[in-house]
Amino acid sequence: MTVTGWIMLSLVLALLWGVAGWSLVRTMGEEGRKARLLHRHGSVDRLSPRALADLEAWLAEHPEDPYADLARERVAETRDHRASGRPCFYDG
Amino acid sequence: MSDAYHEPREEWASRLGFLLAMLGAMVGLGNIWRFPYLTGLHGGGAFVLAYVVLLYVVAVPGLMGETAMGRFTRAATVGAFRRLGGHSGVGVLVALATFGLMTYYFPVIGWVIYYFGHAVAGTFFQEAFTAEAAWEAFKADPQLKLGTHTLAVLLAAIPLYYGVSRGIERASLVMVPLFFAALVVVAGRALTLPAAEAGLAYMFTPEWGQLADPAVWVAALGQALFSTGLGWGIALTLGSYLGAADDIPLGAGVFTAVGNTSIGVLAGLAVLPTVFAFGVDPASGPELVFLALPQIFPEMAGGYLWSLVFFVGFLFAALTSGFAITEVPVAAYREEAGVSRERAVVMVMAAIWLLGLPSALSTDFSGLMDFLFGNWALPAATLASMLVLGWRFGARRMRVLDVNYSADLYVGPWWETAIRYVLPVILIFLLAWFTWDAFAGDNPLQALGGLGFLAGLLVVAFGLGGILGGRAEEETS
Repeated sequence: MTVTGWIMLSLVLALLWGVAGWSLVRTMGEEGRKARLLHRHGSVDRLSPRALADLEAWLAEHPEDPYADLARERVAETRDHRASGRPCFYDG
Repeated sequence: MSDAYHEPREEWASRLGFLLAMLGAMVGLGNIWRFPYLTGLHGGGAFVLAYVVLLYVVAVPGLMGETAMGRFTRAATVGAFRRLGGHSGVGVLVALATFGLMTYYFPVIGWVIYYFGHAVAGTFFQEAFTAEAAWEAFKADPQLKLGTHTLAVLLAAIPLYYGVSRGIERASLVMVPLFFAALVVVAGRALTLPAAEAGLAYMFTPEWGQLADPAVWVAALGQALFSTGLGWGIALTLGSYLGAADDIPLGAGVFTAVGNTSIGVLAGLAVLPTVFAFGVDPASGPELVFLALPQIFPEMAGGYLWSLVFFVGFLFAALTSGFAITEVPVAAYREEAGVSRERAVVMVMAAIWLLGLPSALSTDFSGLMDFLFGNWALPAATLASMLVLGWRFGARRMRVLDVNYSADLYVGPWWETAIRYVLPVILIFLLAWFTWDAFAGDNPLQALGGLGFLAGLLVVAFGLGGILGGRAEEETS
């Protein structure tokens, strides 16, 4: 096999197997941590700081949107959790 | 408007169960049967490169979006697109494309059953056995083709009766790891065969000139969509069973698409070196895996046992995909017709069996169906889905409201650009390029046939969607 072939093989293995392995380990780990927080404290924050900022910015621009109430509900859910002093998923 | 999100719906029993079910749905014939033969047909390395590019640029962001659409609306395909403000016809198009795919998918599962039977009988180890003769014998026997097709449909119908969580999850927890283990062993042996390196070189050394051939890119696009399930409505339907605390971008998006493709490459590593080791023509077409792999087991220590494990795993992988994918038209029919799950399963599976008969009896016909649905209907369904998500409902709204909700991986504004512009432009460009190239070259009839088929499908989908949409408005008014 040529050098190009070996480079392609390595790239494909990294981009596929490497990323798949990383994403599986990470998602199982994160979901396990989330489940433990839910089990111990009854609730968990659902938006990361960046996601919360995005949603609040969108809500400020679209206060009358048909889904604005859902957005307010989700913002409040995360803010209330953080204000309660319970451990946060996204800060962990 | 937010009521749909709070409606109770059968949910996944465990995170691992969901991921394995998604993988189980995606890992099937698309990886083991279709990827190797398309790689062989389209020159190897160039196809693999195009496939990986389109995987990341189209499939990963698209799957994030489709799964989010499912969770957000908590509905099957037709209802989901209606709730997102799109025309019901989009959901019907997706359900019809999936249904059409299943009519030739189950006959191919029937091929796997045939080889599973050979594996059990130990035929591969008989001196007189040749892979070519075994394939020709199958092609020449209409009763065998009909029988295996019927058995495939029956075997898939059973888990559908038990609902998503119990049936698919339970099966996937066993089937996916079992098949993965068998594939690793077979690939390992294939890579040690004489001339295996020629197979590797074929698979990973691109002929750069082939990247200028639109047929390679359209085939790679079709394979990226076929193998990951984007545009089939699978991610949408399975996503509709996700809970509020479940992650979408990392699990349903990245892992499902990339993990699924990894299995396909592993299958390629099993098939292509074997092809070159035994002098099989890599451009043999849809029967490639069945011409190649039966020849490797006599070369392995414990070959009989491995042949059993492999074909059991292959059959189960194909079946888990089959019944998970069939869940899409079943769920759509059940919701729109208001019938019981059992009735929906019987009606849909009976229709798949009946309309699958021509594909079961003729491999040329199933090849034509694969061309029409894989290269035309599926990209069209994906395009329509992404246009509803990106432009009708709004990519930004979906990203901030749901994609990043409980996410293990933050998805930035780049995703909106991907959904609204990148995916649609790529899908339209590739289809247009392929069509133009076919008209300008030797295959004007092929392009004309594809366009005609697509036009007919769109008329039926949007006509039926109009009726269903009108009925839904009457019910809510």
